[in-house]
Amino acid sequence: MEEEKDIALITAYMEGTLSGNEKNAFEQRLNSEPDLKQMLDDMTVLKAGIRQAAREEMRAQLQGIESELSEKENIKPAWNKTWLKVAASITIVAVASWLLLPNSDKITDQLFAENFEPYPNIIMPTVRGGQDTDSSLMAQAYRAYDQQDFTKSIGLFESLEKKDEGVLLYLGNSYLASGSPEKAIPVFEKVIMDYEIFDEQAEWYLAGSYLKAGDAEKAKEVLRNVTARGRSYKSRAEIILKKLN
Amino acid sequence: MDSTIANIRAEGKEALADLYKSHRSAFLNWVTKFGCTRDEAKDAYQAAVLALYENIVSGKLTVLNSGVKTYLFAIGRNKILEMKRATGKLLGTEGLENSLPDVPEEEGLGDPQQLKRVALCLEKLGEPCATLLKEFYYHCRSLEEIARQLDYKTTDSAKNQKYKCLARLRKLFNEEKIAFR
Repeated sequence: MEEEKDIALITAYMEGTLSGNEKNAFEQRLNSEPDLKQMLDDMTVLKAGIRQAAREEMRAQLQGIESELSEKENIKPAWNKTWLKVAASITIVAVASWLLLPNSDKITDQLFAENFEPYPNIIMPTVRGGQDTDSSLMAQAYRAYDQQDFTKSIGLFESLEKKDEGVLLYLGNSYLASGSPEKAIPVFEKVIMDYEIFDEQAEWYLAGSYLKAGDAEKAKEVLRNVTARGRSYKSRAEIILKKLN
Repeated sequence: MDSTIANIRAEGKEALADLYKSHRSAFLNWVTKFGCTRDEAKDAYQAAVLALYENIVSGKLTVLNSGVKTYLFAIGRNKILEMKRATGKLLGTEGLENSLPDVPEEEGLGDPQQLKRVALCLEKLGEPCATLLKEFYYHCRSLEEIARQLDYKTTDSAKNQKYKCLARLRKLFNEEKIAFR
């Protein structure tokens, strides 16, 4: 068909694949054949329209990906955040002794044992008598924490891709409980530096980490901050400070 | 060649999702600091990803001197500034200006009304024409690749099909034009 032949010529012209001679011949025809010129104009519009339609299709695809991603972001963390805030508003001053430690002469060890225990799991408490149906890593991590299997809870908390301040607080506690205060310290510091809602608890356990690590000076420094904050842990902190001095 | 570029050239639109996810959070966090809403930021980022994609598949972009992230940020930044300029709210965006390279703007394609009419005709045209034309003109796949994708025996038959599709599309478009008058 003539029309298709012309279309072939026009598209070749638009794509710049005509040779010099072909191009000259084509341009001469354009000058003398208004129908051909019209066809070229149409093709230019059609090409742009095709591109636009495909671009919108791609944009819709990206929008689809975006909706999925925002849904994930919105539902979970929003729930978590509210929960975390509620959880954080109840500062639990856990005073019972941590774990039965071998007797130690070191005052820092003693003070640690007398004043600290792992912060209770108020994020995802294990339901007593209920079935543990939530198999998410997060749920498994808190369950291990409740069972005082701290090696396991460390592994699970560490494997969570998104670690919010709640996760970090319990990760720090897991390290501290498993006898690695030096690993707990940076975690608590992060909770204090990068987030807001668990500062009070994190500071308290940071002090505990320094005690456990035997660094009385650092412990005092942090405990003074705890006292200055003047909240739930204040009186405990003052007692420890007195004994350290 | 940059690995992202090579990847997108090889995989075409299949690589788009990963590209989109790769720098999304960083970009959204960055621009929302400059008083953009989350939705504006998302629009800008989508435009940036598409522009990068288009420039890569069309062969306009073969080297990413400063990396994918910088490039996406630069296009996205332009998009944000454009939106802000349109609404006269440039306040607070000063920090967006500096330290990013200049990049080409998103390619404008022409009169939106007319483009929309072509899109409608393209829908009427149906398959396989619609896919063939979009693959060729937007995704810049070669006729060889298209022949493989759409099961044509030879590259030439894909080529002939392309001419036929264009002729039919033009006919629809002109009928539409008359109907509009």
